[in-house]
Amino acid sequence: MSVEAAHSLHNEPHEHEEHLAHQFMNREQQDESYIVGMWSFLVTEILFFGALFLCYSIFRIQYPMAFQEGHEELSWVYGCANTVILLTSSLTMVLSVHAAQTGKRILSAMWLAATSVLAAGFLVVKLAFEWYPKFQHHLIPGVNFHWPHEQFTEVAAGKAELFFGLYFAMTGLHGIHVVIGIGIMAVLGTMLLLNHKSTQYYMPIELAGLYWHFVDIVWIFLFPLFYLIGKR
Amino acid sequence: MSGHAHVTPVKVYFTVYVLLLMLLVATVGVYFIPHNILNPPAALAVAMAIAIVKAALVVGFFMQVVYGSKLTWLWAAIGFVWLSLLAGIMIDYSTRHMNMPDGSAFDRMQSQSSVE
Amino acid sequence: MSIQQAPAPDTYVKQESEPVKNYLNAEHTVASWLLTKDHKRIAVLYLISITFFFIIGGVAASLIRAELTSPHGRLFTNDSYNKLFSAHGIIMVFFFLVPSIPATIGNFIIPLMIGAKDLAFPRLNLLSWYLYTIAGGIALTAMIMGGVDTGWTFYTPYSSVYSNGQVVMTLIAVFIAGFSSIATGINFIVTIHKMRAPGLTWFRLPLFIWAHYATSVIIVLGTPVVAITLALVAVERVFPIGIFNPAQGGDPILFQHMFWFYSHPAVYIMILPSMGIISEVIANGSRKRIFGYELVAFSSLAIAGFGFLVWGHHMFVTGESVYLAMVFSLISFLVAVPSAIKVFNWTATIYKGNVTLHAPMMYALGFIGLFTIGGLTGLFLASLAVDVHLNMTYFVVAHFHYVMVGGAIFGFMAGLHFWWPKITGRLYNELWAKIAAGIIFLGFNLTFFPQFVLGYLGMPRRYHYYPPEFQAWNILSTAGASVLGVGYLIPAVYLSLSLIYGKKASANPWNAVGLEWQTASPPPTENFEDIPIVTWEAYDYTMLPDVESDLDYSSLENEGSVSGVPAGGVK
Ligand code: HEM
Ligand SMILES: [Cu+2]
Repeated sequence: MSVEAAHSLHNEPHEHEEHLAHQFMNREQQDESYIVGMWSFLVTEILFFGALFLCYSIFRIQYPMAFQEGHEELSWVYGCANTVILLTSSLTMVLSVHAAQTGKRILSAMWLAATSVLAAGFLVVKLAFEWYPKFQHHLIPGVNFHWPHEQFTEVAAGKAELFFGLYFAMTGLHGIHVVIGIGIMAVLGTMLLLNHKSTQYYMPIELAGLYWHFVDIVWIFLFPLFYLIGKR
Repeated sequence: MSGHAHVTPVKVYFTVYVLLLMLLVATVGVYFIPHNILNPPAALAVAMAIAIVKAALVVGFFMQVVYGSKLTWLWAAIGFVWLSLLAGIMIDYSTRHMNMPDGSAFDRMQSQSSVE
Repeated sequence: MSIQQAPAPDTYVKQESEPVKNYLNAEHTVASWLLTKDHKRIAVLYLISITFFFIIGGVAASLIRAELTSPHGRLFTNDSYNKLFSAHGIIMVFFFLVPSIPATIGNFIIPLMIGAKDLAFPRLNLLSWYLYTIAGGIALTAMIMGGVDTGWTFYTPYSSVYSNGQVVMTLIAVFIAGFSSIATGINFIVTIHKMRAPGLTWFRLPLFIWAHYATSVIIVLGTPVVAITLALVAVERVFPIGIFNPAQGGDPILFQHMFWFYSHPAVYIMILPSMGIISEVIANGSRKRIFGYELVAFSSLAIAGFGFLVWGHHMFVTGESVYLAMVFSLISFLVAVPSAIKVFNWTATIYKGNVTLHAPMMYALGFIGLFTIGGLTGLFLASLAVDVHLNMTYFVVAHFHYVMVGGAIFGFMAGLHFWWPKITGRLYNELWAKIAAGIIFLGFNLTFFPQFVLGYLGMPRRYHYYPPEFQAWNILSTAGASVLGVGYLIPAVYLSLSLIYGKKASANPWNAVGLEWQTASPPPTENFEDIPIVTWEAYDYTMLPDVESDLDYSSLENEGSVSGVPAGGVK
């Protein structure tokens, strides 16, 4: 009953505004609500990862040697390759948003597909070339951890385990975010191809983009912190 | 399928992308600078500075914050500001050794980490 | 000044004759409740769920008090007692107090107060309730399967390495509950920023809104930190990554830092919404604008900000840096200033006000007294030397129950009574409400004041054996708890009865200003017939006579208002 009443109140023509949820008065309000909402979600993500970066910093300062030695087990080449992959996926993501904004539906879906392929590539490098060899080298805390370097005491081995604990916790959490990102992109891409009502409006793709760039930013910090620890 | 959105020219995106790749090369380059030229803490500082610039590029252009409203600016900034509050926890670690007037707690910590 | 765009008077007349559609009778199927996106229905769902958890937490509390009547721990084994107080703390903090006011009263009232049709993200709101329910289910399952004995604080390395029990499951539950409150927080932030009615500027907002804004900021900035911290504890139980384990070079104190980085601000998540309610109730009960409105508004933000700088006062005796401890102590004293500002301004509002002692007002007055005691004893604890004696004693227990029960729950009760007519469309029995408020106040003090004494004498918390000379105080406390229990049962009875037998409430039974009182009780699904345009400040009680002359509320006022409130307002 009151829907009509509220709509007729203002002279703005909401009935003609497509894709406007009932609780909003106009598109500007709706757009900014979504953007600010997404950013406040990203704020929680920043602090979520931030707490892990804090743990990392505290222990790196305390045990520089363990971190230095631990990092020798990681290959900067894979890390760097993955950085390139993720940066490129961020580019394809903005291109998808751009296509959506300018009304190129199929193109937008294609760029989304490219983004998820790159994201999947990232995971392949991560799992097949990095995590699996770590398993073979007995570097998974608790599963089969064994620190080979003989000159190390047991305490030091614990600290190496700490380093790898942080490594797996942080890259693992990041990896989970990549998987979620692939899921989101797959759903949105399919909806675009089917010309679903919700994706006729570019906002969902823009929001997915914000999320994906955040995942990229996390990696921008993870890469130098884990793969590029200088010798003392 | 159109909106009132700010549509950034594609050229900007490509420029940012190239900049990001160049900064990536710089980060890796710093890693290979011999340590008698750039000591490890300085190398870490440079690497982090580069990472911050990269993140700022992504936030600013890919995430469109430079074109965003004040409110978007506010919420984009507040997470990073609060992260620095959380980093206040590190003050504990840098001053805990002073708990003992003679610094003995500090010595214990030192001797532990020198086991490595 | 006058209220523009207010609903035409005949809306209410119609309500008397033929049933007008409102959010309650709009649809009747179960699915229309479980899949609703209406913030009002979600608030009701939340109200039912948190009441359920309050009852469970309350039963645990009663068992604790029963056990403590004897110094020899006759009812429970050590292990069961540990699980009992852990269950009590975890349920009350994460499943009752944190969501209590925001997710129920806040959820219901915020859109009404700001003249919006709903929260910004209705689906996210529903998701929040589902997350909460799932989390609650997991927590209960964990308790049935053996529970945890870590206390609500989950201190490492006990929780991460040694404790037996359903620690991982409980942590998962708390983790999910955290995301439920993050969802609510994000929704409120965006709603308050973007959904205000035309003309409703920040300084025309009711203080309830300011308080909820500050609360939501704390939720969004703090909860993720505790979420990841607890997740790390859960991971450490499975894989020894060692971050919190000293045997591996990790640091258990780091856990406490990260835990309290959230959990001190979290106490403000619990108290700020309550303070918002108190502001509304006091303004109505004194029929005056809140004295120093701007200061009270900013003090909410100040509390949210400073609240993040004092977490270390929970760790004075853990071996954290003494220099840092001094700073934490100092800032803890500073954070009391904005709280005190509120207390002074409320009392100044009552001073020379036209005071009506309705039940919400009685709770509000109770709040002021009890929160003052709770806050001041917080300052005792924030003093470094005093805390060495008092930490881990019943003094701490008494302190936080004064602020959490005497503060947060008194505010919740005040708000529940104040908006009950709006939420249900029915009036409750005012006489019984006043009697219950009195009983709760007495029972509360009888329960927790002895605990200050006990704590000062040195009785540690979390033990069920104690020296026999403490028994008298403990029995006194348990007696008080029984009175308190009865006090809470009475509202449960008369509020439930009011749903069936209560008189129909008018749109504005308290004769209050504020947009939520301008729409029908209960409100229609879309909240307002027309989106209001606001030209007046909050608590502008001078405009009520105007309202009366513009619109004829009086026909309903006499029947539909709660006894004791002067119908028609005061010049
Ligand atoms: C005036 C402001 C306040 C100050 C200065 C303050 C200070 C303190 C201090 C220093 C402690 C630690 C005591 C110890 O463990 O030795 C403490 C504990 C506690 N406070 Fe407060 N407090 C204040 C307000 C509040 C409020 C408003 C709440 C809740 C609504 C609250 C809830 C708690 C809780 C739950 C604990 C105990 C945590 C635990 O160890 O289980 N406090 N407070
Ligand atoms: Cu505290």
